[in-house]
Amino acid sequence: MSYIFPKRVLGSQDVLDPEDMNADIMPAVELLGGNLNEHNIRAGVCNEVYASAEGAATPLAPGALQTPYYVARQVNPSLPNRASDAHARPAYMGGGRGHYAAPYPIPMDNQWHQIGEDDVNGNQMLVTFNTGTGKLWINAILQFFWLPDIEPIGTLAREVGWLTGTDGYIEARETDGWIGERLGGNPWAGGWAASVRFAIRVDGRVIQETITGRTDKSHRESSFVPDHALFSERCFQGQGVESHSISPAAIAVRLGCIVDVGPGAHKVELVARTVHRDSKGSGGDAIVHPGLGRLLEPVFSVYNSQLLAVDIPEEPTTVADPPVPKVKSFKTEDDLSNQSMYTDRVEKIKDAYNDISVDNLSRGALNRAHLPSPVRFARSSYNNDDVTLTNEWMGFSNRVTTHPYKMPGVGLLPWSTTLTGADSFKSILNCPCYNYDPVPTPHTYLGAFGTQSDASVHAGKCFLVVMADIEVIEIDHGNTDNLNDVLACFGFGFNFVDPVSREPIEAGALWVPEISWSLYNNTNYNPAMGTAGLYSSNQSVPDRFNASVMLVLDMTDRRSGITMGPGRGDGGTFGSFGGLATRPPENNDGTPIEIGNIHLLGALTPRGVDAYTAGEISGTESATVKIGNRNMSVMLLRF
Amino acid sequence: MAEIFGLYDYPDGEKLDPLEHSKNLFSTEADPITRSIFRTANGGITRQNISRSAPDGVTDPGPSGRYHVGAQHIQPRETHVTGQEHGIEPLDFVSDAFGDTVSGSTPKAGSLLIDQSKWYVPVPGCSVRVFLPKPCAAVMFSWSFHYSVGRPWGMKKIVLDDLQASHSEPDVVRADSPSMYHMAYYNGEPQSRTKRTFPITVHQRYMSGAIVEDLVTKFDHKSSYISEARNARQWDFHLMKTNVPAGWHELSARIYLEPHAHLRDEQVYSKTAREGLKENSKYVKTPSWLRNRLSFGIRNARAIGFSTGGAPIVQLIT
Repeated sequence: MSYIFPKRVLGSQDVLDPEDMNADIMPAVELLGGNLNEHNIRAGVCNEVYASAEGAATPLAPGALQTPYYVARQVNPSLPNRASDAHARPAYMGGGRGHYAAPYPIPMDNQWHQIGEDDVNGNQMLVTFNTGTGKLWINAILQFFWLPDIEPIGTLAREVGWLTGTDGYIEARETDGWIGERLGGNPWAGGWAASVRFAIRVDGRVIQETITGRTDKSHRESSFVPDHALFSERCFQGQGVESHSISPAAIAVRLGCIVDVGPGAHKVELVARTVHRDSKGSGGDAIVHPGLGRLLEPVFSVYNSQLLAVDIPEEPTTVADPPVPKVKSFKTEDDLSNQSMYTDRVEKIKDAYNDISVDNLSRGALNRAHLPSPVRFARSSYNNDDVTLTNEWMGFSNRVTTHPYKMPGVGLLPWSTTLTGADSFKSILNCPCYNYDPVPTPHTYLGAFGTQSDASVHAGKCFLVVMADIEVIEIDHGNTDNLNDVLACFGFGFNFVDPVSREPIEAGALWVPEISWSLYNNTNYNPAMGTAGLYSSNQSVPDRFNASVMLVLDMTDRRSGITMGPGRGDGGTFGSFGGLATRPPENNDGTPIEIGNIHLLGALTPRGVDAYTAGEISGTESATVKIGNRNMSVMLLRF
Repeated sequence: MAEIFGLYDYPDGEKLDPLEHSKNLFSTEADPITRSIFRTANGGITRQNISRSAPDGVTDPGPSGRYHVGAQHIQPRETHVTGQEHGIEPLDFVSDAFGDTVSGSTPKAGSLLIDQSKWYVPVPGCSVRVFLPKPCAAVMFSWSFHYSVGRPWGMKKIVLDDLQASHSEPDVVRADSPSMYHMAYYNGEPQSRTKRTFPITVHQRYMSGAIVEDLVTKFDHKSSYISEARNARQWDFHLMKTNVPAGWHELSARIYLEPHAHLRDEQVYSKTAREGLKENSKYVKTPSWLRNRLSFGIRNARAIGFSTGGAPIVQLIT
């Protein structure tokens, strides 16, 4: 039922027939029995765009459009801030400086494991929830590091480096090394690969199309064989051997899918597994731990990771009895009076239509014309110009937790400058966050919406999804000795504007959430160079890969949500990330902070050799990372 | 105003007014709209009609309760449109399979752009096509694939005359590795922001010492080096389009492999794999081909469209 039409027009000489009188009023009553549909309801009924003209929008229940379920493990890889940083060694096996979770070493049993499965603080890469019939839009990202051994190499306190020596063998190092030098996968040995895989698992089923590998391990193991071994018999392998999984020693992996789900409880996990490797060692055959006298035992660890599953309902199962006014039909000989016509019938109908319960609506009564868009803001930016970052390393560190932002050029704190200075990160792309949602106020910035203490007001609940892809052309260490000891790092930086003045808060400073960092080592160093002859000068081969970054923020309640420990997520709708001190700046009076711009940032770790031998950062490291095409998108989604 | 008020109340003791009765039900006049039950029911129900409070005696269960419009009131696929495709089986692209190249030095087709687009070949399982019944505020396309690359560093062609003249380091002409790109196409249009180059993974070390044996010039050759495994990765891309019109929309990840280089003048020296296992084995000059190979593992492409929401529409109002 949708439209209702009069069956007749009552004239002054007409005989009052009960059937005709019932036809006058009963269709309107029957509509209220859960039969109101899209034709009966004015467009925009739930859209606050029209709120100013016709009062407040009809509220949407949480999850009516979509519901995000988000979890993050923030594990800072403990990249050193300066040479004097006492915590310069990588936080592996739970002993480091991970903020709210320890790095997760993937068990070596070749089975799928939930990342963080043994974390007693509830930091698993797992979300559970109930849905009706619908779809899940799932996105995840993780940071992977391959560490060459479970034990430090060296005997003295400062001899704990993981350096790969110039002869291709792991050797003790006299000072702490940068994490980049501690990575596994000795490139001198040729084709060493980590051979790990990641995937999304839903209700216990690994979603096959998300597996980051190849189904046939031996596929493309070519007979094209290089002629000479180079420090390791591994070089006798031909093309394609052990190329079936994720291989680099430092890489961020982003993956996603869309899956159908039925009614009931669901569990979405980010899972990882190792794959059988021909060599169990870490950096090459016959490379032994100098202190323990055994082959190196590699550690494949997951650091920062995020998992977002958005429930998109399609056939919800909820039903309820609609409140229908009790209107009796007319019978022959019934009196017509104010009581019988108006009070008992017409007025009841009027009152019911003036106070319609949502239960009077039929299933699926509303279409997009009645609803707000699930997207409140969406914008992309891209740039195709090459840019080269040269590090003058000030490092990034957990110290950001106590100094979330600083004015440019002040001190040596990380994040201190980003846009114009020479320190750490540099902006390589900018996405202006001016709201073009059709709201009356023009040029509105992307608001944070503050808290939602009034549960009946739901319009402000939003979450932000930011993604970026970067073409890394080359990571160049600028020298010939070190191998994969330079890391390119990408992340997001936010700057904020005052909601009244629209002036930037802490001009030039960005808030850089650590969870957004994605780090990559250079994988294409070519030791098989010569100083003369046919194939000289091809030592530093462009790396040429795609780097991915992702960040999810709950924009509804960033001020009171508990973001760490077992209570993470309390106070916020779906746990945020980071920690109290890594929150964005906020006004003391609770005024929502608004985002002015989101920057895609790039940075580079140093080689480290000069830094350590000199005892401090020299500031003149020559390593560079060359970046090409890049693209970022910002979406603010309602829920 | 959608609220119904000012109805004729059928006062006792008075003659029934048929016109006022009709106005209560279905008046089409402009002013009495507020007292027309049918007219309100026929598309006139606005947010003012819908209760935001619980009836007396009923505890409002809160924002997740029955007094808010819930998911069950929304037509399926009205707010989101999704699509996903994937490929599981291993897949190879080899450069000499991309045969339609040039005739002499001139591209076969008239437009270089058309030729280039033709050379960008979709990757099966890495494309997605969705139909949007209505315009969308934004559509997020994502696609990912695992890959490994067999791509040689360019070889250098020795000028034989120079060698015979016993130059210590002969002049060479280098043949660069054929190009190898990824780029996504959206509705047939290349998206330059998604263009990526794949790494070179087959490296050669230098040669030295020309030796003539059985009238064939051979060279001692140092190590080769293959980094294909170390460069095996998974790439994940996204492309967001905003204010997307209704209709079909397609995102396809495509691969460009420059046709292989054929060094026909027999000035490049290579050797067979079998010989490659021998220490200090020699290279024999022979015609050579430089070919790229791109091997795909598991891949997928997905799209999710978010509707524009409540744009005003014309509704029938009685």
